[in-house]
Amino acid sequence: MSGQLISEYAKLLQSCKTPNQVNGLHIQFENSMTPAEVFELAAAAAIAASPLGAGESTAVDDPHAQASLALRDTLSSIPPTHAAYALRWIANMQAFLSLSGKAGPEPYLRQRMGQYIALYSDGNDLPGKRLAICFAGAGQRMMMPVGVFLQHVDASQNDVLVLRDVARNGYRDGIPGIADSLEELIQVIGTNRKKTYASVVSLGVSAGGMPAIWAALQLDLDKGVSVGGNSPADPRWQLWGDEGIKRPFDYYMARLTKPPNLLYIYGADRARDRDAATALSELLPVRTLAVGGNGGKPSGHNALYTLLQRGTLTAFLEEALSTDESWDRLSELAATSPIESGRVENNPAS
Amino acid sequence: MAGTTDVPIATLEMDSLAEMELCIAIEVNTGITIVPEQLRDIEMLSDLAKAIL
Repeated sequence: MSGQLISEYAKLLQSCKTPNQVNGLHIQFENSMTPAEVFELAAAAAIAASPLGAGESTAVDDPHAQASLALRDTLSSIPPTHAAYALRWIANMQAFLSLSGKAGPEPYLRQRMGQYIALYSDGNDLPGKRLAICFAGAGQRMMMPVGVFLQHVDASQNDVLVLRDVARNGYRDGIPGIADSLEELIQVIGTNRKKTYASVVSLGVSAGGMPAIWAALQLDLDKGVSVGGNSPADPRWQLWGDEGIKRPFDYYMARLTKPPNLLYIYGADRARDRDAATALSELLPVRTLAVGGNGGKPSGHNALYTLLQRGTLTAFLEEALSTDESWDRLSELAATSPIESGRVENNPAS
Repeated sequence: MAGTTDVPIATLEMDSLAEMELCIAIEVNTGITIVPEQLRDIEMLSDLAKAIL
């Protein structure tokens, strides 16, 4: 590790004038940081939070140690409220990653494919690898910080392409600089894959849910998964006259080379998403799966967060993304949990 | 303000990210700083409007 990320974070943190600017900085970092970078930042924060040792100075050779000490300088010079926000944020990120039960970070490296698209891969080309095309929700993330999500997906078996909906309209206008419509965006993704994968699946959360289903149909993918996606009856998807989204779906369904493998996952206690599951299953051959709550608490829109808190997100995503998943195992993982094991306060948000 | 019906902020079902983004948007557009911890203590949308206006 070069310490570059920590130095950059310390510099930007220093420039924040208000707590909201600190939060904005954290959101920006959350939307791109890899698990390894979260670990790196947490290690630096541990050094930064420790008292200055005798004879210790920033004149050290190790760039990581130097950056850590620079972070300590920053934390001691900014308003205490800002420092508290920063340390709490780093601690929360670390705690969320620890819910994976893994001692170290999943070794994803980030490769920017454009301003709002990034490929996360460990760089190895194993023959059985899967590509997960991920449509983030309006929060620009997969219902949690990107690094937290990636920590729960096996890097040795998956490459993860994350698309961000910067216009926050369900990708209906594409992504700036890439495509001007959802259909064109999906086509660009479909025709620009450099590597061959054993399977290619789509996963979309919230406002990215419907685009993930669309992508699975348009690109004839091995699986399409929506988590809390919009209902086809949602006014935002009534773009094709009386038939609404049925028209493009019928068109792509007729061109498929195999029956579609579609899955809609939703929080069991979220009425709107439950209704969306019903409406989507009336339109397409989609299987629906309700995620129960934890410890008597309801399961809301952010179903993945419920599973994250439960400590079962890794196992759930592996089954959900698999083209030959065990439905019994998936259902078991989704069922209501009697306990709130591993709960971390502060919803990482969608 | 136009309209006669007030809205409890809780009905907006904001998660922590949405709270942060709302506070950031308020600050950027009005210069008034309300942090998420304060926002959670505001019950109605009209109360939030009064804090800004």
